[in-house]
Amino acid sequence: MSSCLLNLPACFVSLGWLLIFAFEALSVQVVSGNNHTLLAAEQGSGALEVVYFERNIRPILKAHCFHCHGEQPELAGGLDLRLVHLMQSGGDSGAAISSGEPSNSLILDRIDSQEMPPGNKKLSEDDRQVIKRWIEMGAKTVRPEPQNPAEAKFTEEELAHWAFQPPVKPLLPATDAMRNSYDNSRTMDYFVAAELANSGTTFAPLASRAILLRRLKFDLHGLPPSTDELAQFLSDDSPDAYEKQVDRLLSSPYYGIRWARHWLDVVGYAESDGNVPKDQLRPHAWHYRDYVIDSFNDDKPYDQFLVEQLAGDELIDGAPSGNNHRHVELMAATGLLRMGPDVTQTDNTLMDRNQAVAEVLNVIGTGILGITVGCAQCHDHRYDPIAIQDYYRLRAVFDPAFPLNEWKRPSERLFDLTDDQTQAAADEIEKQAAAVQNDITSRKREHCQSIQEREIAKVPEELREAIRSAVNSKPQEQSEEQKQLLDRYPTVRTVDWIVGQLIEYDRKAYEGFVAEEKKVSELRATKPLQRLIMAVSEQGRDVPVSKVFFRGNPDTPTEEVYPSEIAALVSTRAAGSIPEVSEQLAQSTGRRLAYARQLTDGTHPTVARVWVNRVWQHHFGQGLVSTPGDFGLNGSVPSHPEILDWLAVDFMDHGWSTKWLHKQILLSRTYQQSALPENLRSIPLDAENRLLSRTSLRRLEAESLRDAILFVSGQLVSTMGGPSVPVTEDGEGKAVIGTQNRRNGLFDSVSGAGIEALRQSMYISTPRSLPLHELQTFDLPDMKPNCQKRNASTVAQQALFFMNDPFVIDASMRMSELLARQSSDIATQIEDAYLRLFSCAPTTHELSQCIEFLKLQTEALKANSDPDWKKVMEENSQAVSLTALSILCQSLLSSNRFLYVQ
Amino acid sequence: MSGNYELPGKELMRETQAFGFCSRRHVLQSTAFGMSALGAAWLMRGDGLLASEQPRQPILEPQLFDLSPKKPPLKAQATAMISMFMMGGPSQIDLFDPKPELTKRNGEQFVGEIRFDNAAQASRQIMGPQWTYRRRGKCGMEISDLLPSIGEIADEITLIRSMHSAVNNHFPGFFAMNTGAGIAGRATLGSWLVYALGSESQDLPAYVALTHPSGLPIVGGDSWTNGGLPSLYQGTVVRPKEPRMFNLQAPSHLKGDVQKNQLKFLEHLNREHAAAYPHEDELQARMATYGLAARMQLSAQEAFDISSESAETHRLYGIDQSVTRDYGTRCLIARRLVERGVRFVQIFNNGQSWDHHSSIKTELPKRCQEIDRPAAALVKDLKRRGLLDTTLVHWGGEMGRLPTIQVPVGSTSLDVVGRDHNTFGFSMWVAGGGLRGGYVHGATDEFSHHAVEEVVTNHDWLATVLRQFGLDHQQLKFRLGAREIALVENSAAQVVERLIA
Repeated sequence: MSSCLLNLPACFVSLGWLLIFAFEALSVQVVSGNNHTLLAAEQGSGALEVVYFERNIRPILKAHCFHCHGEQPELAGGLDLRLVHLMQSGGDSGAAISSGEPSNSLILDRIDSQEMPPGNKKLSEDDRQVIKRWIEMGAKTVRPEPQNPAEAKFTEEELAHWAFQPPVKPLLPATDAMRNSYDNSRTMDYFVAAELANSGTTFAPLASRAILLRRLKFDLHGLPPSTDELAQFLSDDSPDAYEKQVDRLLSSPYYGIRWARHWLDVVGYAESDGNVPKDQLRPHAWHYRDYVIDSFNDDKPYDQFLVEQLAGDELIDGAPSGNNHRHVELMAATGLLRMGPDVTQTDNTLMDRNQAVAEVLNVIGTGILGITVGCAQCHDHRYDPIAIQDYYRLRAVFDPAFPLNEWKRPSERLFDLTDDQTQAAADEIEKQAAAVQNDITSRKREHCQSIQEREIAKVPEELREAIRSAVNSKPQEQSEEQKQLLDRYPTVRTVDWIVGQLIEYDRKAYEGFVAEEKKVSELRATKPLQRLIMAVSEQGRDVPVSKVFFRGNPDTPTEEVYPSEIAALVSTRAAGSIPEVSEQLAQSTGRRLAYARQLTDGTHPTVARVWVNRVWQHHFGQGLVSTPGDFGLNGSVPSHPEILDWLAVDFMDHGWSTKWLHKQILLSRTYQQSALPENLRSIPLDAENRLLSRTSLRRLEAESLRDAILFVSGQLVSTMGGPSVPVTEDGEGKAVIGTQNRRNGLFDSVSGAGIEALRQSMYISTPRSLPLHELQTFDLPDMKPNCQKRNASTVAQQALFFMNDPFVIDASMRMSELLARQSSDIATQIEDAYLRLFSCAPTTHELSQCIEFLKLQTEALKANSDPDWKKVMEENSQAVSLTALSILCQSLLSSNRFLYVQ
Repeated sequence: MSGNYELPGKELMRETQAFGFCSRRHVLQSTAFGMSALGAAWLMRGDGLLASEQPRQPILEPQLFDLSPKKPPLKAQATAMISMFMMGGPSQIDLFDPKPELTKRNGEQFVGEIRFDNAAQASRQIMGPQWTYRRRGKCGMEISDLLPSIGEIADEITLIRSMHSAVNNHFPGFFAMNTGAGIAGRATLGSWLVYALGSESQDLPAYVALTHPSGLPIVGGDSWTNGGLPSLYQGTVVRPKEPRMFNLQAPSHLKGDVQKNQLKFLEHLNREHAAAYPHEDELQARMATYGLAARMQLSAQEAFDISSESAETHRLYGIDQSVTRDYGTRCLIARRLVERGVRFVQIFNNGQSWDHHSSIKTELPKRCQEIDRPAAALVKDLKRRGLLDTTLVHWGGEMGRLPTIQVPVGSTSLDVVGRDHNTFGFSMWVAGGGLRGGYVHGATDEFSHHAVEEVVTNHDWLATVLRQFGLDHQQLKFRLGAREIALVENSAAQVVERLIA
């Protein structure tokens, strides 16, 4: 099961289906978009609000009908539904509507008879009612319509969508009274407080300091606080203790590891190509991962971060050099454009190439722009004012880097940026290895020559010369007689053939050569690692012509297009044009650089908002916009639009500093609330916690859970950077850390990775087809192509994992050994466990409960007659007490108190 | 089939499996949680809030994948399938496809075109069937004496003597037979069936692979891969020994009361925690998963536990004898799984143990002994339990063998020679699931090299299986990125109507 709730195909919009399903299940009426206001107004006043084409009708028809009745060159039934006057003049069957006469309007006939729209997707009853009412009311438009539908591609209503307008700092809502009522408030708190007050509720009390520290630590490092850290924080009475703690955590390298993971979700980082049958590993992807970690730790301004990733290569003058650290960094940055699924290593058709480019655009669209650009790949966007031409104009920015007709396979486009010193050392070893290999190859050939002679010698003497000459002739030059001769003696073959089949002719010799060749590969394995980077560059300034692909098919290019941002995103600002070829660069068109600079010029409507929303999402569990990859008309409306804009503008004013942004959020009153409101009765006022009347509980993400378990059991290895720890299948088909040993081509065993296996999850390899089982169980996302929001599933396999999985059992045992080493006193051990896991000492009630449980389990363990267990008891007198403690640890580890951040 | 019984909490469990999580509503629907009416009221209201923030949402082909049972578009004869896959390529010449001509010409040179796989050891010396054939059952189907028990079920089975894939070598051959094309990683037949039809059981995995004690099948996880289908539909490996599933059994120290105590304690901890956050319904849902896990521990264990079967059944499957114990046990487990609503079970042999390039004279009888009695028992047992009508049983490999000898050690003595691959004509048998019993379909040429009459390709075979499950191979598709995938992509594939009863 796909573990990422929102990683849906580009056209398939976010949470939509889930909610629809929910609605259907309860028969709750789906009240949608603009019509919602309409119906709500009716319910309130009893008066009927006027229905207009642009506001109420066009969005329905655009989603369901325009494709055949408007956008296609050939109008279905000769009917164009894009303008009311065109509906009135009608198609082959006559007028589609008759103003004021629903019963006389063909469009309703067709809808009612389920004839239209064709296929399974029918209009909802609400949609039908609105259309009927609109016709009844005279089929009104807001304003006069143009004659030509081409001039009415998008309405003012669509272009006026909030997300297409640049963010502007809003006025503060707060009165002085409100300001005074909350200590240490941040600006954003005023907006939250105002909304809460409107709903008749208020902030929850502040969370306890221990809970706050645990929340903070998981948010910023993905780990629980250490007991020392907890003690230090709790004993710091200074008024700025909390802020100092935030600063400490933000300056720790663990911060970069944790937050880079969020960004890697956005860009769809995975360490394989994603071809289903033959997934190729990406052993060099980690350079990009380390670039992202370093960038977060350095608090690289987000604008610069984006520019480097979209156009790092275009920031380098001339050819990149492996001896120049900055060049290496910039090239690694462009890995963003290489992270999408790309099967062209193994399946390299035009369609496959096109799909690889489409995935890049999907990632840029949902990840950076927060717009489902990919929906306009085959036709105009169904909801947003994005024409198919817009899609291909945006794509033209990237076309020179992804030329479909001069495509390079992934293995052909790795950049070797090894520095000279490393290269020299590797060359020396390669020289030795090649010499040895050459010697083996020539001896093998000689040997096969002698085998051929041996086989010839088995042929009757009078035929030997003839068969020798036959076998050494090229097949196409062999005479019929020669062929027949060879057919009669099938074991007489060319030397090349015998080299390939040596195992069948002479197994012993074959194995000898294999052993020798193994030594050669061992020698080669001692070479220092080359620095091979997945990066993007362009191939000079001879650029491909960009065209619109009719129905998204690269085999049917139509009109030519020139690079630009999507029109709806530049309609309200003065963004410069993107030159086809920049004069500044010799090797590149400069299109991506120009585009990246536009995105980060401070006037772009979505770029800063989208990032601010993501940071918010990771601190609160849901974004201000709950569809983080879709800010378009089909996305969700921001819960607090003022906060989004305030923070977005302020963020840009503060040098696009993500750490600054964290501090605004973390120091807010809103963030520091308890998970429990003052009065539970207020919960119905904000059931989904969209108003932020408390802190929502959040389940640990896969990586945090694994890392936290390793951490509390004293096992976590904190080495940073470098190649990823390999993941492989064990004999039972489970994805485990290590490498496979094979014998005679068959699975033999798995070699573990030693201490490396205990590294943070960020450093464990993530092939798309083989997610580590500990991580997969807890919803490691399937990168197809990226992930907007992690799923947090609750399934029985997770329960079984905590109950029985060797990873948990082992960690519990390690933890009990650790506790026992620290103290022999049971109460102290329990207290230590609580502090490690929950950042909170046990109450006396909890302590006695645990002691009781230990007693119970001690007896149960003694009574356990399992033969394996009995053997352990006999061999180790400490086994029972240590195991009882480990079971306590396991129970606490499995408990919701550990699994959730509160 | 035991499809429609309802257990308490079953609805919840189905939802849980279907969506991979418990939404608020699923919790509410379950009476098990005893939510207060007040709680329910404000939770509903929460939905209202959510609804209002969602603008227009027409249903865009919701990608909703689940394992709930689904009705096939066509009339279905079969509801479950057990495939006994015989990797390596059993010799049809010695087991199922008697050829008087070969017996007559034993030892002579083969004239005409022949396709060797291993030319280094190739020979044109003809080797006739080394074992006697006998007419079996009322239908008089000829089956080799190496398979006496299978002979006893001749009237139940359809013997196809005209299989053809032309896909050489074992890996590609396996993929051709199970996934529709000779390349790795495509979705397997089991995945397609589960994708299309869901599962009748919500306590057990829908698609089970029963592996051999020697380890994974030689193509590894690709043997039961979901390929491009959602991973929900991949096969679950049931191990050849205890524990038969991961994490289903407590480690030795947690056995008995220890884990029970622990689960009780954990529930207590979780209840105390949840009491502090009555509005966080996910905590309740997670507590429920422990109950579900415990039930799976029991139901899965129960399904794998053959000790409750009678001694007579054990004997029937040959579990009382060491040579047939493993295979018999796995066949019996397969029956128990199907009985409990599992959709597709595939039983694997050891590596490619039917690949008799050498010593076929001594090795083939051993392989036959291992499977003959259990395979026949499976059909007999399904029949007497009334399950054969709806369970399609398959026995066969990815290829057959050549009529000439392969000479691996230089000696042409019949005791040491073997037979090379033959993918152009081979045999397999099927039973139940609405197929014709006591029927021999198709024929090879006089040397059993090429299928020549009523040829059944691997594509035809897969199309026919789908048909028996009420599915149309031309309609069963899945959209994957830029392309559409299907089990049967060969446009020449046809349902073999004559196989159908």
